[in-house]
Amino acid sequence: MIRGWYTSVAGLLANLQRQEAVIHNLANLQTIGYKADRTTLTDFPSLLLAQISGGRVGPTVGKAGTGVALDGLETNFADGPLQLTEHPFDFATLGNAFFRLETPDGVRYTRDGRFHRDADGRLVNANGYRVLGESGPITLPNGQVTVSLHGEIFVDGNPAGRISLARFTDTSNLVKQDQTLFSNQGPEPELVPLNEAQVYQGYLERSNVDTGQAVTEMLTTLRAYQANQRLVQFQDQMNAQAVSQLGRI
Amino acid sequence: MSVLSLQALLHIARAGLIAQETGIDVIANNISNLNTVGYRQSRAEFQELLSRQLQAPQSPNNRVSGQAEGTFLAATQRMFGQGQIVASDMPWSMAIEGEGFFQVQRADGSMAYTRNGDFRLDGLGRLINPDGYLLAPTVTLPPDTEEHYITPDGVIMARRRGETQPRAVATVLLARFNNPSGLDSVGDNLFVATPASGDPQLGQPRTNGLGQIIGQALESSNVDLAEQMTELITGQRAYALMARALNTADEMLNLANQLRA
Repeated sequence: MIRGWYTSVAGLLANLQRQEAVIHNLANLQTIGYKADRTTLTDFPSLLLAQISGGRVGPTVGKAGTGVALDGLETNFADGPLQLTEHPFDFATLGNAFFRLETPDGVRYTRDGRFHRDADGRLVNANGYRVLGESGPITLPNGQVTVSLHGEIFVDGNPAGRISLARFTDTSNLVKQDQTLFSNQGPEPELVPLNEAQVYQGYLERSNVDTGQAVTEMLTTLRAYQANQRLVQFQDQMNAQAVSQLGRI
Repeated sequence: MSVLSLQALLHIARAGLIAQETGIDVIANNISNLNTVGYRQSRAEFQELLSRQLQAPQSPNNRVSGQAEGTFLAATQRMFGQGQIVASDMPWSMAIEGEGFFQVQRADGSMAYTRNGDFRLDGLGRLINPDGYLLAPTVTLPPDTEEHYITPDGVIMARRRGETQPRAVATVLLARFNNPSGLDSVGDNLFVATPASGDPQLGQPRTNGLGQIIGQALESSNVDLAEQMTELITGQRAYALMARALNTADEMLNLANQLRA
């Protein structure tokens, strides 16, 4: 009976963690370049139950689960919908390619392509991190900026470098960080070659959170939490009866 | 995912609510300036918020560093896209097609920048904006001007009484900034330069990336109503969802409270 109690509490905790991820996704419904988190649940190892008779362990009678735990969070790297903004410094890309930013902590990767030209003509994002091109950070002279599908930048028609993308064949090496950035924990990614790069100027990639799915998950998680809470209550009542009534005989 | 509590759920939902509310404020401000000449629309930029202490993932399956904390407003960016140019009856009105700002001198001598080209003449024949600020560098018209027009290069041509041909009397200069989004809005459709915007670079229209001037016209606000209404609807939905999430978190807190029946 006590074992069941811990199983239910494990269920409460796992659903709480799941709900955290679901609400975090919902909070980022309007975050450009956001990639949804997915929770994976795993069960605790099952135990073999054995008959104990006369102080000796007898034959096993079967397995019993001992609860559930959150295995981890993984990121869903599916493309979000592209939105046309017609703003010359908005960019989007697709597939497993990422923009590269120079941050104080090293190179970071992002799908949030809201850049602008700063006071010194450098191409930066909202946090002031410089956008990396083929040969280091990009600086743009004055003038009208157009960017080709392959990321080549032209200012008033004159070439001014190229936005270079990193491509991850294995996105499992990417770890989420603050400010919609990813850091790479694996080998250096390859840079996307010119003729394969896709840079969409004047577009933004919206969050890839599926609202319907997220809301459904929020409700089912709530009910799962509630069910586990009922079980804890129920087992508490059983314990109370065992304590107060069994001794009366 | 590290320390976790039910309160964390409330905090995430709260962060989402605050962000969406700011987003709706920005949209409301844009819509209310739909008919403000020379107004530039803004947009709210949200980013994912994870707790700042960056930590290595604890489990090999964990692909998120730091605690989930919802979203935050990273910046509001002013969009300097072209507004529609409409003809105007005012003889001294001007519109800029392309990049650049008119420079006006405020009462305290400091410079401000605007896309609102609703100029007029003061008693001394100088061009002033609706607030009475002088266009800088100052443009003074000869008192006996009978007819005038402005070329796309910003040259003011005036025909004086007794003359047959108009002659160039002054040039309107425009200012451009490396980062117009970094300009500080000070109200009355005026912007001032900041370290983020960089220093103004004055020049004649149609040179150095500057746009051209269209006389007897005004540039309307660049707010796109259809776009703003769409943003408003998605913003409202996101707000309602966060309110729902807050409710759910509250319900879970209540359930935890009743664990002991």
